[in-house]
Amino acid sequence: MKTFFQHILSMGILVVALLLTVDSALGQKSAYEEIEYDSLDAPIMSLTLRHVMEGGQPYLIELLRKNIFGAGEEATDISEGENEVITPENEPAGEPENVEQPDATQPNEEVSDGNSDEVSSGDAFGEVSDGNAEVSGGDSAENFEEAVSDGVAAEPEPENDNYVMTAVPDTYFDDALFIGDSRTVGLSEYCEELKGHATFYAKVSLTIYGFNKKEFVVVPIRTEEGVEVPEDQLPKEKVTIEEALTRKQFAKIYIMLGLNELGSGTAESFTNSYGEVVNRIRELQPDAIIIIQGIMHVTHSKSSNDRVFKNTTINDRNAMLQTLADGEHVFYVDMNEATDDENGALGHDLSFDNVHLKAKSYSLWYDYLKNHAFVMEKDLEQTQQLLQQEIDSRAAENPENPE
Amino acid sequence: MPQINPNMTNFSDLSFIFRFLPIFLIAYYVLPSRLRPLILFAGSLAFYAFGDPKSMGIFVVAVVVNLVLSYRCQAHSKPALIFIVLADVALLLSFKFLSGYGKVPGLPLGISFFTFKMVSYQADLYKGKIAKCPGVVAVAAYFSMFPQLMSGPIMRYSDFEKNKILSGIEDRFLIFKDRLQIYLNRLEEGLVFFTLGFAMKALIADYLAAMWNEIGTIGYESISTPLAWTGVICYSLNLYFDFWGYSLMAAGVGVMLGFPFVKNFDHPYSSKTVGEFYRRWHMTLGSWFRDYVYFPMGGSREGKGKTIRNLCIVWALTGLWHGVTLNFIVWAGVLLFMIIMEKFVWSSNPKLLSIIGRIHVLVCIPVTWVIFALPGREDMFNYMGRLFPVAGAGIAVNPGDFGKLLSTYWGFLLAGLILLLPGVYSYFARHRKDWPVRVLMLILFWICAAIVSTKAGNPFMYVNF
Repeated sequence: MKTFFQHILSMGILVVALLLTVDSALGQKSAYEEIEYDSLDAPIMSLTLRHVMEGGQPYLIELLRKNIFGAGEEATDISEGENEVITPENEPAGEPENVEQPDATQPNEEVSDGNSDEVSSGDAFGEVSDGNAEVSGGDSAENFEEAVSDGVAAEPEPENDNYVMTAVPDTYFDDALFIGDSRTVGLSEYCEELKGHATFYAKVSLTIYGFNKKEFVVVPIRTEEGVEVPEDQLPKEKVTIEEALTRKQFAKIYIMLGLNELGSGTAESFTNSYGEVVNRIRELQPDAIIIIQGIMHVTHSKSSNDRVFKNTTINDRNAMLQTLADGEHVFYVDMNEATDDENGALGHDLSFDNVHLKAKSYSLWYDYLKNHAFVMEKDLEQTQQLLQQEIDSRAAENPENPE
Repeated sequence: MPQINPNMTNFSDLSFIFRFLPIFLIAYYVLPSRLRPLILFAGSLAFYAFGDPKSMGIFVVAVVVNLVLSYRCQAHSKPALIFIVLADVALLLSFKFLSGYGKVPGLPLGISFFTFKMVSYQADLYKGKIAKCPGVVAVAAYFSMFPQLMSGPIMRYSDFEKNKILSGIEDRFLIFKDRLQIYLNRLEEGLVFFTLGFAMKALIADYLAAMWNEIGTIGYESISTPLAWTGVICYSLNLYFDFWGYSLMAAGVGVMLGFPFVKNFDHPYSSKTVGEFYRRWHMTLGSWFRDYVYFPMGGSREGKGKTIRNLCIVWALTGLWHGVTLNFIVWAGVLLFMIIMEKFVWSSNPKLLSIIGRIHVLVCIPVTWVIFALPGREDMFNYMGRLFPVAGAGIAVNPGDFGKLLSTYWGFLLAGLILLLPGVYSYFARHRKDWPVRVLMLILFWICAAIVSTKAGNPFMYVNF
């Protein structure tokens, strides 16, 4: 014993290591089965350590707790049991990691199944457009919805309500919203034209599954009816994107998500979840068009050396995402055209870490969006006039500051 | 030969700490003591095979050739000494050039360090500093010993010899109980240093490396000037705690095996001049150049002209040793310039020297580390342009980048700056035998282990785009 305490550091490491190993070995098939683990990579004890780092409790402690509660009255036991059912569902869904993927997709799939049924029946749109009538008071968009909900695959809708792709002036993005992960965060920080104009609901490591789970969008709190306080004086709170979309309307909603999901699920399960989000946005923002952006590639060297982040996977998923576009309210653009090199990968010079654009490269992305925007056919002429004005005024400015 | 897991050779990886090291220690202490040099050699070869199986052949040939030639060196044969030194240097330099210009994917594991150990061993033999001929196995174990294989410290043979456990002198005739006591004391002592290094690496250096990486992601041409300067601090601290942490872990493992503690860093940033800084930074490399290059050429005893010449040679070699790309030459050149100015110009006025020397150490040296960090010429120019924004305002600069990165990493920067105070580390080193410090180390060890566990073998470590 004396020897033990004289060498508390060595002994402590030894004892804890043994306990962790036992815990990991016992829990490997149950509590830790979702952790992707290869015994060649790390000692088995890393299971427990990783579980703890993700906010969980070691298997044995959990077991002990359960048994102590189990010895008590039955009611406690049940509530414990419930908790346990709930936790694995809630917790993992918040995280983008593969480890939790089965949990994250499962509920989503269930929901999306139900929903896609609704959409295909055509009733869903009818419902939406009804809601729409209440919210927006019936403008042209509403007509549009009704045309769709009537199940018309035919042409006879007013021609000038079609959207066409065109180049647009910078002001186009003033009522645009960008939803995305760290790459979109970069766009918000390094694109002068968008800074202070467009709105960004973007967050590092955001996934499509985080749409209604991650609370990070800062918005003014909801006021009770009748309370008139200017918006900028209201206290702020953090809400999910879904919640934020109920509070403010946009005209264009750009989404680029999917990089962090590459390691989890299949192209199908990912696209199902994505489609679910698109449908939900359609419900919440009936007047907005949604522009799905294909996932930006990674560089060739990353793609050829990484187990997960491969451009072939990205291309598979982009092809699936493209099917979500209906050409009416939901569009698909692929900005990779602006940043690809001859390998069909993110240009090596455009990136430092092989995944993100460098600050100066974001203009390529922006220019692509500016030249591949969607306006209603009837507004086309006006848009082009505005664009011409913008070009003229730039030209007028330039002679004053020659380079 | 399939590459099993290169992480096995990373001291801060759980595979090393809980697989390689314990198995090795058990073999080392449980098998008969006369086998220890052999176990150390065999274990080190296995370590090399895990880390870099492709270069194994080069390493083994270098060991064998040096062993053969060592008998001639011991017989004071000058041609033999010249031949083997040139051969070792040529081996090192050819790989430096090949990898520096992308002809081979990387350097053979530890080549910069084992060649330097070989040269010092041959020179010491020739000069008669090593009294009797050590056994072949012992010398092979000295060249290859795994705690120092990858990145030093460059221990001399005279320190290697001091290991009474390796030679079996200390415990050969003891009963089991007394032996156990000795082994455990050694382990405990080594683990304290190991944990201190582990913490520097896992809790500070790795996070600062992430910050430095984020700066690169923005692109050096687009960082704001405040961020450029924060980046200077960030990289300097990253390098310092990464290397000091590694050195402490290496020395700690050495202590576990019975070697004396090898000091590689002695609070360099509290130095008064650049010259002093490099006597306290990567000390085993500095003293190697001193003993085997600078002094043999006459050092600073033969007048101003020769001193400057000798300094130039030492620093040219130091630059080359770190790498053959332009940035290392510039890096060494700037340091050489500061050292010569300190030695011959500023020294005439002690007050001036004390001010300029501190500026050198606390401002200029951190800037030289950025030069050191950026092998690409364009990157270097871009970074300097943002540090000293005289030429222009940069491209797509976001002035908010400084605040954003600082809000994430300020704690790690602060921790690094606090550890620059010599008293903090010294306190732990001095009180390492007190149980509260050791309990603290135990906690620190497991915190670090938990942190690195999220990285090892987890392909999704970087899933935070």
